[in-house]
Amino acid sequence: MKKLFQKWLLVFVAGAFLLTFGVSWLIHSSLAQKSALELLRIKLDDASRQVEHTQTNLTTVVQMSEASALSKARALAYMIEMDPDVLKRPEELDEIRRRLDVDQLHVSDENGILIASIPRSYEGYDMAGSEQSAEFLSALKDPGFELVQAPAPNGILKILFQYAGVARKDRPGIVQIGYRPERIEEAMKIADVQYIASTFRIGHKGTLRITENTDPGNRREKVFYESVDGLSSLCLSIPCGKYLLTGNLPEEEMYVSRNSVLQILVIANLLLFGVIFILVSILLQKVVISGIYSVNRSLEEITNGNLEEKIAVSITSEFQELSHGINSTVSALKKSIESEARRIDAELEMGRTIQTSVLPVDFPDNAQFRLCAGMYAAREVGGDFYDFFMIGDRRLAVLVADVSGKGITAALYMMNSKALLKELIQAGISPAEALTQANLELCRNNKAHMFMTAFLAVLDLDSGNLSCVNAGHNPPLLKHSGGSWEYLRLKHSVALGVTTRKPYSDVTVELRPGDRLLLYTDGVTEARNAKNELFGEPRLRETLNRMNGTPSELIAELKSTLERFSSGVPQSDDITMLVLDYFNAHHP
Amino acid sequence: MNLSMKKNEDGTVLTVIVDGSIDTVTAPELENRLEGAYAGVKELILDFAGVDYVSSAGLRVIMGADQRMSGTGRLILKNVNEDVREVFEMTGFDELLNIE
Repeated sequence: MKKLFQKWLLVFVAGAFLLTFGVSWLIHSSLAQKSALELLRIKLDDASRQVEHTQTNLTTVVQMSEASALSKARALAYMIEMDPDVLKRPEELDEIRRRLDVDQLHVSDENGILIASIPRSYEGYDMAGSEQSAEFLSALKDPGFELVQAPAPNGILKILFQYAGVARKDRPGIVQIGYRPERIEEAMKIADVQYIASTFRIGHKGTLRITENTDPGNRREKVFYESVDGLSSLCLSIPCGKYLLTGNLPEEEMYVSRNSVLQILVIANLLLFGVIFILVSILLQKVVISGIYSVNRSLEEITNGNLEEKIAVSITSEFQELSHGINSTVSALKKSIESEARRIDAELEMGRTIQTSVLPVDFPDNAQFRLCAGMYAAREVGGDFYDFFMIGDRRLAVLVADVSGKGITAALYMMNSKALLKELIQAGISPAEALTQANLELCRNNKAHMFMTAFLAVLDLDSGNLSCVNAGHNPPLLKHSGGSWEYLRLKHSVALGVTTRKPYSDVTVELRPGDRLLLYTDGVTEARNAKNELFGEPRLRETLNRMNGTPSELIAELKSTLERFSSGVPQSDDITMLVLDYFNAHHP
Repeated sequence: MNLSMKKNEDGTVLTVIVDGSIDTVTAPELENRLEGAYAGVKELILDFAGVDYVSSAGLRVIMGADQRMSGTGRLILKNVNEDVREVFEMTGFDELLNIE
């Protein structure tokens, strides 16, 4: 249960963590995107202002430069008009060029052939010779002609050069000045959009691109993602005149703050949820698990048979109720077991009482015979019994029997058999006939398959003749006067209560004065010791051969021998012994 | 006491191999186990090779099994050792049972 609970707790905590993380991620992503767009927008605004400003600047510089160039050309034309001979004085012309702060001076005749040039190497050049210089030929026919060409690369070094020219005033011809437009160059450089773009920074790694606006009609800004220099970047493009400005900011930079916020969040959350997990686990352990373990321990104790165990878990009211419930169940169970045990005890006790109460205990001791018997009941099994009685004056009947079974049923069966046999024998019939009659009775309705082994003998006190039948019983032992104990192995008949098909027949043994007979049940020979060995017939015979004394002494001694042999092993079956001493064949 | 039971293919011959003592304590178990196994059995074989002792309670169970089988088939005792055979002889049951 603890594991299960922890599993679900973990799932819950992990879920909460993921949810928090996800939501934070979304919010911070959107915030980061917004602020990145804002940054891009501001930067692009700056850039577009800069572009516009430099463009305006450039126009102004160009206009000023053109005006100044034309003034210089006009001044030169005037000087030539005043003094045409100046063209023949190159040193003076060079001085004029220096004063005008230009690089070249060119003057042509009416055919467009340069007649005076600084540098002088140009002299003789035909202005119609190149497309660029041919533009000035119109001045030959139009005295009001003025032209400032756009700056263009010139010469081998392709240096940017600009020409301005006017018509000659003294006669048809061209007056032209050439110079390096350094200011324009400067202004153009500043106004170069690629230059602007290359010097522009957005954030740390973001850049600006300026491209031709291919769709001048579109004045709307556009947001998109694109890979720039291998970095996925957020891009914003806005039109600016004929240009399209596109600013970008790499996503990694855009999300820097989000990532650091999330990093802190993750650490804080892990700590928080870890603490929650541990606290809940401890609480669970304290409140629930330890309670359950405690209840389980007690239940195990109870299952092992200790019904005295009480459960006292009072962590919560539920546990109190549970403890109380289990305690009352156990105590009810205990009561019922006790009453059942009492009932069984009572039944066994009753069986034993019946069994012992019917055994005769007045042992005769006279001149002709003496007799003693003992029955020692085992706790579980009842069913042994013995009997002896006179038939008239001259005959003595002795009986030892063992009913298979226990409790009241066996006791009643035994009582019934005992009474039946006594009645039959006293009616004067032989032991075999008595057993045959009794067997018929016992075989009827014997559903419990109970049976009885018996040794029944009738001794004629005058003759010493012993008529006996062994119905499935242990062989008795006989000791002739002066001899040793020997088993009396007679023809065996079947135990009673089993079958009516096998007849019983009498066997006659002759006893002489001084002979001693021992009848017993299997509780004697089948007594076991700690090694699980049986006492057995040979040991019984040897033991008896070492013994003397009266029948009662013999029985007591045999019983104590058996107790020593068993030494602590509980007696599993009833032990019954009957000793008969025959003294005299003749009545005194 | 240990018991192992096996039936032949058509379930008519049940062989029960018994080990140990059949006494007051173990006899009821043998009785219960046999009780649940009679159905359809024509021949019940009790293999007593491992049985060293049979008390009167054990005899009662064996006699009950014999009577139970007597109507529809038969009970056969196999490999009965000398001590146990003496018990059967003493009680006269050797004349009633099929002991091989």
